[in-house]
Amino acid sequence: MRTWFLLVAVLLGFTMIPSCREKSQINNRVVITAVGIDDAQDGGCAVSIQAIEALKISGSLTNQEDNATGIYETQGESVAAAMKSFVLQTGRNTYLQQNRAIVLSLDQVKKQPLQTTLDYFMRNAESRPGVYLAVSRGSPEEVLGVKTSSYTIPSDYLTTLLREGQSWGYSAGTTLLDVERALSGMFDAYLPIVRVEGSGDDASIHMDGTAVFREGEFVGELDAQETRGLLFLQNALERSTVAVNRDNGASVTLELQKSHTGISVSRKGDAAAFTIRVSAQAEIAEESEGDIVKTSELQSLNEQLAQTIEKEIRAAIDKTVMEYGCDVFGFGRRVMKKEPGLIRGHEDEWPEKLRECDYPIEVEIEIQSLGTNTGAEPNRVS
Amino acid sequence: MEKTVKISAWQLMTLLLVGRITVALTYSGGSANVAHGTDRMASLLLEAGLLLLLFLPTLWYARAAQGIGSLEYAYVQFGKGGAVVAVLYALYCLYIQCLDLMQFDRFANTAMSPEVPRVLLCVALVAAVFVAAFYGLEAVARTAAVIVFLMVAAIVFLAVSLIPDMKALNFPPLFYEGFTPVWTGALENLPRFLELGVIALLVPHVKGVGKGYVWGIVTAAAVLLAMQITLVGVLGDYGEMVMYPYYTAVTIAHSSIVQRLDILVAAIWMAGLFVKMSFLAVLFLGCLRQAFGDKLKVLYVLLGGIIVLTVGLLLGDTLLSVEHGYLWLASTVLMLAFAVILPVILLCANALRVKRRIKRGDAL
Amino acid sequence: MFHKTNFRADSRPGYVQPPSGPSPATPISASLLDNLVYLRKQFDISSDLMIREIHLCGYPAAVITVEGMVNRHILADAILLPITEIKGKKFSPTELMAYIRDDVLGSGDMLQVRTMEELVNLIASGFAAIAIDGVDYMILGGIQGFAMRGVSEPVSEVMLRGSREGFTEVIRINLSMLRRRLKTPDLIFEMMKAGKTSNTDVCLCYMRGRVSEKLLRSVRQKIENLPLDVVLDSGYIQPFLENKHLSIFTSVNTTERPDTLCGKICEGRIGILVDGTPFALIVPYLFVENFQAMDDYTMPPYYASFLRILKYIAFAVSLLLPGLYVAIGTHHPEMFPPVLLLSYLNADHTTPFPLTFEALLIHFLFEIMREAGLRFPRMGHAVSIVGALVIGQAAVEAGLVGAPMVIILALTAISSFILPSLYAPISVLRFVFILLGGALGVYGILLGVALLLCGICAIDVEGIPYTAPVSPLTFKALKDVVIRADWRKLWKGNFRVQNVKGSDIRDDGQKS
Repeated sequence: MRTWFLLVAVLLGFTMIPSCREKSQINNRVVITAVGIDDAQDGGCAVSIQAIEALKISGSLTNQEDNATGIYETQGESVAAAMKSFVLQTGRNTYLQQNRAIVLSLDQVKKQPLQTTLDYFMRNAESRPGVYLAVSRGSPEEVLGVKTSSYTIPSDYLTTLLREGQSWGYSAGTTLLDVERALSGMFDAYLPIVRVEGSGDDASIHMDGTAVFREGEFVGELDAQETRGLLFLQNALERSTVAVNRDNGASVTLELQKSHTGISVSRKGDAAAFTIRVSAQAEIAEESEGDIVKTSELQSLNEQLAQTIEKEIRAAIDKTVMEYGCDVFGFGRRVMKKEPGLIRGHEDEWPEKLRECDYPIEVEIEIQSLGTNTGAEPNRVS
Repeated sequence: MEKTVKISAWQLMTLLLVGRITVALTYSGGSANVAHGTDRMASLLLEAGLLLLLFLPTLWYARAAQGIGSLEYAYVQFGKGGAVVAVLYALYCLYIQCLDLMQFDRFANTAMSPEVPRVLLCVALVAAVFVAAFYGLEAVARTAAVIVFLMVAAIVFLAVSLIPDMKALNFPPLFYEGFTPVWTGALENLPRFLELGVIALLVPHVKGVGKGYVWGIVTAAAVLLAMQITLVGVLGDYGEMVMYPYYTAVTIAHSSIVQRLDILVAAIWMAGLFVKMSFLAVLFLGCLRQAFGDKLKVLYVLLGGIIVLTVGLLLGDTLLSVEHGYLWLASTVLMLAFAVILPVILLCANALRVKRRIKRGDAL
Repeated sequence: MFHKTNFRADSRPGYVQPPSGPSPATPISASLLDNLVYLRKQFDISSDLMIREIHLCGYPAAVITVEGMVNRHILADAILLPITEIKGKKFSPTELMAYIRDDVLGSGDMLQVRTMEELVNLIASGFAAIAIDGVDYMILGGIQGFAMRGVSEPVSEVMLRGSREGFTEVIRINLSMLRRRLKTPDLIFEMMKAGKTSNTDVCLCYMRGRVSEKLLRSVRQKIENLPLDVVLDSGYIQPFLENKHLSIFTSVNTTERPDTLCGKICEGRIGILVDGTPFALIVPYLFVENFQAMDDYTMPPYYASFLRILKYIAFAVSLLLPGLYVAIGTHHPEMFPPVLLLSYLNADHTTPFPLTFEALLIHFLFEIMREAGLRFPRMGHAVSIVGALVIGQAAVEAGLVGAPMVIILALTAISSFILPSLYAPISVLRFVFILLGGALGVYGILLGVALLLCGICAIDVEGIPYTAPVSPLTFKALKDVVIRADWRKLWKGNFRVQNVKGSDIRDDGQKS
């Protein structure tokens, strides 16, 4: 009997705990879905957030006509100070656990190294390592404010763009974890660059290359071709489209599928040689004159495609390794694994030593399909 | 007469496995002495080997004592002085529980940041643990046998859901800095398996104590290896820079509509901690009952809970951060004292006693 | 040294066991008058004692019955008529009684009693007693004719395929149902009495050669030592058979089905039938049996296995879903995917109560309505309309509770109906887990589950672990736990409940 009384007393005691008596804490917090960090004019940083507005939620997703978020902006001496000052604007503390994207302005990444800008997010237990990062050419607030009718939460639009953009070869899909790994010394970081075109309801986000960093500091950009070359090397590209010319001058668009890149390391004196092997399958997506592509032409198309890919990869290596002196591909790490004797004790020299290494590229493409259109014209009368 | 409590070798194995997994979750990449990346995998295997070696004195004792537990043996050898051994064992069990609670408190404070006040969480945990002490060793062992399946299933599930995020490049080369980190890492982590010191207590209560212990260490090595592969495959060298790398690695895991599977890690930790601390609480209660009788069992439990809470919550941060070295030394000394020295002392005392009896017999 | 702590009253020092054993018997007198006076005194002003005084071969005699318990036609035809037509021969009273017993009476159920207690017990059970002046015993014939419910489908255990017979309130009929199914002399019916005043018939049913002798001795002793005055239902005896009085899960279950009881008896268990109730007790009852049903053994194994797994999932859902929802909503909303998060935020924003209170309120309302529907079956329609409209629609539209909570309630309720034997503990524990989830989040739920698991693992049923064969693990027995193996595999192995791993009452020769 005594034990039952004790049990009931303990359970009643639980009802006294604040979390049982008060409303769910998330309703007293600003649920952030995206963060933008810009360089403030007078020093410090300007932070903008995209947050869920409870009053904009209809409760039924089929009835949700407008996006359910609002944009807030504030400034502070540091990112942490700025984040905390949202309390003064909204009357509620921030909630980072549902954050999906962090957008940094180009000015901000040029001004401060990544480890300083992102330190708040790397330390905060609420922050997710899987959050996507991007650099904006204009203001991050502009990017966060782009609305779309396809997504209730606009940051889902941005993250989908980044994710799909990577698999299609248009942009790098970098997460906070990738940057954290990079900052631990394994390789250098790179972030996709985005820009906003149009304004108001017609605004849309476009991919605009890749920002490259060395030890967290911004060193330069890659254009679209170089970005695709980078993605090939990273083995992140799942499919892409490449246009080549036929012998008769017509243009053929080929869709690459199942692309795979392998890098093998061999010693070459005091340096190394990184043999890059790319293999992919392709299919003919479109022929500009609607003509049949003959089987005898396939070999030529294969070669042209291989050359295009090789050129893009070479451009990516030339820009990142030769020009900027950064190791975004983890070449140094590969040497560490395969030929540790080369690098042990000389780790500091290696980003520079990569310039002395060789990068032979072998590309093997196989056109698997010509599409379903044979181009035959039976019973033509005119 | 009360029947002798008996658990199987399999149940002992699950108790030890749960304990090892719980400790592995507290592995922090921050310490300079701890092996990292692939070196830590070698370190885990070395650690398992060393633990098997350290078990030999207890195994020798178990065979020589013919099924009598170290506490009962102490009473046989030292008479009422056996109560001193009982109290020492009880304090040892409390010491392990305090360490576990300190680690959990630090984890709750830094990585989890729950909405619930962490003091309340720790009080609830300790209260549950000491209530479970009344259920006895068999109940806790059976619970461990069920929970270990769930824990291992969760670890495998997390590993599988993280496979797409693992990269070969994240694994550093083995022995890149030589064999020293492997060796020092194994020694650093060795005294964290303090349950070795209480195995001698369980000799009369386990059917096949040697078998259970060996299986426990071997399966724990396999599970810990899987955990290490997961965290290195996902984090790479970044794992050295965070306090709880396994927890960090799992924060990116997701399965279908459920996100932030790090709650699963906290859940595994809590379940494992409950089993481990309950096991020790049962031993603590048993030792005090043996020493001072059964009447004040509720008082023993209250006292134990208060001590664990006080030390764990008040001194936790200081001991883990500032006095880390002293803590390692204390744990090593205690582990060796209970796992190696005490069984040897008991057997030597018995040998001396037999010798004296033979001499007296000869004199008669 | 590391045994579990026993908080039962009978384990405390100074506890005195109540006296047991039969009270002293009153012998039947040779004087008819004395016997009749005794009976009239015992029954006092009770009007159902019927004494028909007659003369047999010149000796005063009487036929004693209890009104309503005997068949009057059989009484007249088989007892009164034959004995009153005895003429011609000269007998002493004793010879006359013997002649009536051996040569006259046609009843197949003839007993002879020498004590008043036995006489009263038997005439109250539908026997007619014949007393002759000068004879110090009476003979009784069984001519039961009391009103009883016919054999019908058991209400509490409905099966899709399987017998439609259920036990009735008459113990003899129940015994016949068992005997019909197990036509073997190894099926033993051991009759006992329970209740000092009620003298209720209790029957232990077991299979000789399969039951554990230690188990049998223990159960027999417990029933013999019952301190109860009156036993009106098997539920009165049930608590005395359980080892752990503080457990929320019962280790002694009930069944209304004779086929189920036969199956259990064949596994070495003991069935206990109690006169006056259709619910038989089964000892020992393990936790996994809550998920087993007679239907499982008549359906194809793949479907039976699917249903078993469904039941385990339903148990987890009905027990933990409300608590988990409260825990995640209150403490861990980061686990919600975006779509669910919006729905949850809207619900939370528009309702006034904390999630914990909302969950407690709605589940409490549900229990009230369920109980109302059960006690007032005629009002069932009205209750379901009130439930659907009030909870399902009006409360949500008024903003008192959120729509997700109503869905959670529906899922929980439906899941709990799959396991009727666990409904009671699930209903109570659900509230506990809601409180734990609201107070401590998922960690609280986990601690609760761990402690509950520990509590279940601590239960021993007559020396058999309650969580067997899952923990301690008996591999061979698992083919009838999570899945139901094909009968071609199931019949092998000769499963005996006392031989599971961890059992203290294993048969000799069984490996531990």
